Amino acid sequence: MRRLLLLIILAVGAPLPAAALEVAATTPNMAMLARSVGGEHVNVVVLAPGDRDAHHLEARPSMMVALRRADLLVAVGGELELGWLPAAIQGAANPRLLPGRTGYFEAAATVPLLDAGSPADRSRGDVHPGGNPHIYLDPLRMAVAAEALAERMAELDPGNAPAFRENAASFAARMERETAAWRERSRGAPGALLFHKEADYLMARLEVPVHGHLEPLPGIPPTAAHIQQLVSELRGREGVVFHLVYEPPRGPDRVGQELGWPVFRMHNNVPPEGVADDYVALIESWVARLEEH
Amino acid sequence: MNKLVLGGIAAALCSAPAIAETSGPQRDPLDPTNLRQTARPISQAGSGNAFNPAMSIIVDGAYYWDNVGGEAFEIIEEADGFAMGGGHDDDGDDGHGHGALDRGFNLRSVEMAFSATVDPYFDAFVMILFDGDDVELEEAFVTTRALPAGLQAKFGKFLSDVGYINKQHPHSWDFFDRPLVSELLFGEEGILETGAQLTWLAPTSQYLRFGVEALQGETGGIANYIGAEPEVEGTSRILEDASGPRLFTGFAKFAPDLGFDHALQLGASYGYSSSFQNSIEHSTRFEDQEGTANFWGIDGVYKYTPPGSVGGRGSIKVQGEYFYRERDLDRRDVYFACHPAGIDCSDPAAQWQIGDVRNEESFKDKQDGYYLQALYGLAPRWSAGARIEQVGLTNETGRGGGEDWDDSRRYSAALNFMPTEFSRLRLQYSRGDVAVDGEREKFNQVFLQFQMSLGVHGAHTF
Repeated sequence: MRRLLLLIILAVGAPLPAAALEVAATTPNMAMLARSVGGEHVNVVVLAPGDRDAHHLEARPSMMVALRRADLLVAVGGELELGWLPAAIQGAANPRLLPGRTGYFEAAATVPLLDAGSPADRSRGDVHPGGNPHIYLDPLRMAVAAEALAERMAELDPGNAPAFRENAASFAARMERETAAWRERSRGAPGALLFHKEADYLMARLEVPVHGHLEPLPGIPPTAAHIQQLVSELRGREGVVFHLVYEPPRGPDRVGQELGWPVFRMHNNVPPEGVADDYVALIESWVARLEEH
Repeated sequence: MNKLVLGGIAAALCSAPAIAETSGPQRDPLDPTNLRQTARPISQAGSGNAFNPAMSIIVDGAYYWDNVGGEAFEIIEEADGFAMGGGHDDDGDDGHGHGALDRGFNLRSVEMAFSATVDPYFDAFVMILFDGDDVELEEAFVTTRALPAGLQAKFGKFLSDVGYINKQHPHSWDFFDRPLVSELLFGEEGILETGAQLTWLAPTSQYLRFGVEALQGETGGIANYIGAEPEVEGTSRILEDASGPRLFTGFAKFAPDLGFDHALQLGASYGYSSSFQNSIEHSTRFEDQEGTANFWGIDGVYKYTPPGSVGGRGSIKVQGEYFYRERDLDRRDVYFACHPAGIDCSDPAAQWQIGDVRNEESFKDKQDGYYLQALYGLAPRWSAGARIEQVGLTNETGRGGGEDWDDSRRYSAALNFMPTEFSRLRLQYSRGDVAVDGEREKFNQVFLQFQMSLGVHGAHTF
């Protein structure tokens, strides 16, 4: 009996040193980052798939289950998940993941953001005064986020710190290498018309001009007047139209037709089980479209 | 090797235009500074004012019309079996509850909510409700942040977590009005009480959450409390003082993992009130009821979001709850005036004298009700819903020898338009079919509701 008690105490009090770090990632891209940095020392669960808009999810019980068991939450941050993540964390009753704690990681907080300091005025749509949170399509910002994530994982699991740092460094090196090639390939691309400010970081990184956004204001669906305005502004110029899988194709198709620009339906996330290779393939898919046109 | 690589990236990122030539294709004029050095040292990127509570204001108004002279809400309150004994409202208000509207334009409520982290141990939430001319404290509670093992405690005035809709504020409902079962079995604000709650989220791979609550016990339908009343001419009344907490609830919620597209949550709840009191003032006597009450209920919600759904198109939400309430009461009437009313007490025709006791009986009330509703995403930002409700499937009251009443029903349809997540327009039609004194009272209601939310709109839970 006493032995059993001792066993129970041991089992509860002393987690096995070899246990992998449990990571909950809000989006597949963040899960990819966690897998790339954590390697075999982490178990990663994704809270939401990439085929829907991370602005408009809702806190679900399955998320709370994942967060309840996690040692580390990897979020995009920058208020992107504001509509559901705080509720999911609250419902998970896991103090380790509260904002400000070691277990709460926001990628957007590790890099400078575009459009930071824009006025907090909702007549301008769904704005993020802290800056554009969609950093995940910038490979170099992801590289920096990977390094910061490695430090965070090292804090939580000091035993594997060297492995985390090495993984982050090799991810960063790969991103740097690939980015150089991507920039070369997309050089001279005439520019892109985006739906939301989703790929602004990627376009800036590739030095491809953004000709505008189909949304008249962030979060507001395209209107006929705005589409007409875009068409009249851009007529006679070259470019491509990008929209994401979950963004309605009607507006983009219309603009593409009127301007004679190709319209591409793009992914902004790797598959839920994605790794660094998938992320490279994801960026490749954007570069390839820019390169061809 | 690592250092070299990091150095390379740093150089690529920080290359100022002057040295851009040497760093080749990595030159980045849009990011002339080093990304790492300019990264904010905080761990969370946000725009709020650091220590101020997050604030939001929700304005909720409606144009209302019904075909019974604006009396539809009164008819509902008079539903057979649910009206507080004989149509006399004991708390003296004129029957205009929270939900009642005038025909025409109404500002139902302006909710002001504040939330903040108090310290490392507590989060706090306060909601103040401006309701016509009244200002009232809707909720004010703290929740723990740091309890281990999936435990969470809550103290203060809050909406009970029993069932599904009880915890929600009116602005997150899918229909304008509170389901009949919640309004008639519990009260016009559901179960809104001062007390404490402890919940535990089990460390299982499927969502499993348990909770218990100890509440003061003031909810009209199950824990109505009056306290001791002075005796009449030496005759005591049966109402007694009872210290709180008088209402205890427990609930469990289970949600299997159905992947990203489907979500289901099932719940069960139970509540026991150690004191249910009611007092009706007739023309010459007080009718006092004193006893206990309990309820149980089941609830379920299912949501489907198709992959790649735009603005909620094609999404489905089905939600339903059933509650059963039982009250175990003693009744005892005490005359405060001689009977028949107005008679001189020395008149031999006076049947009852002041202080006389009458109608001593013990009885049970057994009542129940349910609602079932569905919401479908018609198009981006548009959704349509339908709801059926029935109360009094079991509708036995024991007062005065006992009676078995008819049920009451309501059918509703709604069309919602949400321009953004901060505003909503709703057109709702309801058809009521309510039993009042054995007759079927039927009415039509139309609501054109507008809702807007200003400020930081807090995330909604499932």
